[in-house]
Amino acid sequence: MKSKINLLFGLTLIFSSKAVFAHGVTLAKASELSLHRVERLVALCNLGDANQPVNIPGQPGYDPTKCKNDPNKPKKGIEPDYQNKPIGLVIIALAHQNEDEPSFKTTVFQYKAQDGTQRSVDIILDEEGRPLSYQENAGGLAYNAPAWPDKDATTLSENALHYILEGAVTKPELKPYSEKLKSFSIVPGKNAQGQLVAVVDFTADGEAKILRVRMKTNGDFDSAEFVQ
Amino acid sequence: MKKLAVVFGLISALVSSAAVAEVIWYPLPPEAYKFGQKYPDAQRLLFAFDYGHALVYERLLLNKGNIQDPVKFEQQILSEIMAILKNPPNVKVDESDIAPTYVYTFPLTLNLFDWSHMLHQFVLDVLAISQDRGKGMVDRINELFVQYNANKPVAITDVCKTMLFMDGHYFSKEFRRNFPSFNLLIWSYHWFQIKLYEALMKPTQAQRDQEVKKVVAQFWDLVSDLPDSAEFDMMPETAKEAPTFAKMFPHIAPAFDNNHMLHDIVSDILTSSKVPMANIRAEGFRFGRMAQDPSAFKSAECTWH
Repeated sequence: MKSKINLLFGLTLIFSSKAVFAHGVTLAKASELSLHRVERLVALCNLGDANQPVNIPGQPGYDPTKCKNDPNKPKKGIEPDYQNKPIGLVIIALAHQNEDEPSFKTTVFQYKAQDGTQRSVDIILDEEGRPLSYQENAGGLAYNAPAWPDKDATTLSENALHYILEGAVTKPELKPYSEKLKSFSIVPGKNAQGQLVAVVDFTADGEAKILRVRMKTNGDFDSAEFVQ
Repeated sequence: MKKLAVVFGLISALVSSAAVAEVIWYPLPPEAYKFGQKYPDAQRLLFAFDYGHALVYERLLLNKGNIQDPVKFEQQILSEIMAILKNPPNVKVDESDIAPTYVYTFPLTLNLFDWSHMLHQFVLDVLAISQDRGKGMVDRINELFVQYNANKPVAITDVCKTMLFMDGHYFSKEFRRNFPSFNLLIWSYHWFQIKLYEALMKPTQAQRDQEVKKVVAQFWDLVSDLPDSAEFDMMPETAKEAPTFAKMFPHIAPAFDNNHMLHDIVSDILTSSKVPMANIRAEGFRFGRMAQDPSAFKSAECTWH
C-alpha cells in the first residue's frame, strides 16, 4: 500500500513539475512575483473600519507603518507588516492542466507573535506567475522582527532572488534554486567585514545544501555561499 | 589636393556626428504620424501621455519636500490628467511649455525620452500602414531602428537590463509607494504603448482595427478607478505583453523597456526624500547615462546579445 502511495505521489510530482516547466515561470520567479504582489497589496491596504481611528496620509497622526483607514472606502489589501516583517516564504507547485489555472501557492510568513501564532498570507498564481487570489491566515502581531535600517525585508528578499534568477543563466550550481526552490528565510547577520547584512537562506527540492545569499541593507548584493 | 580632401572629409564627419546628436529625425520618415490618421483615438491618447508625464514631473519637482498631503496632491493632479486624457491634444505637445523646470532639470533624460518616443511613434506608423506583416514591414522597422541607434548620444541601449536597473537604487520604489495611482497611471500608459504593437501584429487589417479598438477600451478600464483598477504588480514588460512583437523585433523590445524603466527612475528621484533638490540634476544625468550603457545592469537572460 505504502509503495503504491509513494508511486502515486511520485507520479503526481512528475506530472505537476512537467506542467509547471512546460511553459511558464520557475519557482524562484513565482516567488519573486509573489513578493511583488505583497507590495501591491500593502500599497492598497485600507481597513475601511469606522470603529478605528482614521489613518490617511496627510491627516494628523498618520502612521505610515499601518494600513490606511478610510472608513468611506472598502476594506482591501494586506497590512504593511507583510512587507516589513516577513521571516520567509514557502512555495509549492500545484498540479494543473491549463496555463490559467492555479499553478503555484506561495505563503509569506511574518515573524511569530508572542503567543507562538504566526500571521501569513497565501498567494495563488497561474503558470505565468500572474496572481489569481490571496488568503490571509490569522495569527498574532509579529514579535521581535528586526527593524531593517534602509530597505525593507521584502525588497532585500527580492534582490536576493534576483541573484538566483540572473545567476542561474550562467552558473549551473544556481539552477536548482531557480527551478526547484522550496523556501527562503530572511534574518539579520554579519558579513565578512562585520557589517549588518540580510542573510537569505534558500532551500531547493533535492538539494542538501542551503544557498546562503547575503544582501547589504541598502539592497546591494554582498556575498553568497553554499552551507550544509 | 589630397590633403584638402582629407581635411574636408574630417570636417564633414565632425559636422554630421554633431548634427545627429540632436533629437531631430531628419528627414522625417515618409510614414511619420500615419498611425494617427488610421487610429486617431489611440494617437491622441499617446499625445496626452506625453502631456501627463510632463505635468506629473513638473508638479513633483516644484513641490518637492513640501507635499504635506500626498493623497490630496495625487487626487488633484490625477483629476487634471484625467481631464486631459478625456480631451486629448491633436498634436504632440512641447514639454518646455508645460514643464519648463523639468525640462531644465532633466535635459539628458528628456532627450533620451524624446528620441525613443520618436522610434515608438514611427514603428507604430509603419505597423499601421503596412499591408501585410511580411519582410518589407520588418525590414523597414529594422531600418528605422538602425537610424535610431546611430544617434548614440541620445539612444537608450537595446541591451536588456535586469529589473534592478529600475528598483535597485537608494531611492527606488518611493514613487509607487507614495503615489500608487500616479504610478499605475504611468504603467497603464506603458502597457497601452506596448499593447498597440501586439495589436498591430495581427495578420489582417480587420483584426488589427479590432485589436486597437480593444486596447483603447481596456486602457480606459485600467484607469477607471485608480489605484484599484490597474492590476499591475510590476512595470509591464514588452516580451510579456507583446510577445509576437518582441520575438519579431528582439532589439527594439528591450530598448522600449529600458525607456520605461528610466521613466520610473525619474519618478523615484523626484519623489524620494533621499535625493536632495541639489542632487536631482546630477542624478538625472547619471541614470540617463546608465540607461544608455549596454553593460550597466545587463541581464544574463537577454540571450540574443
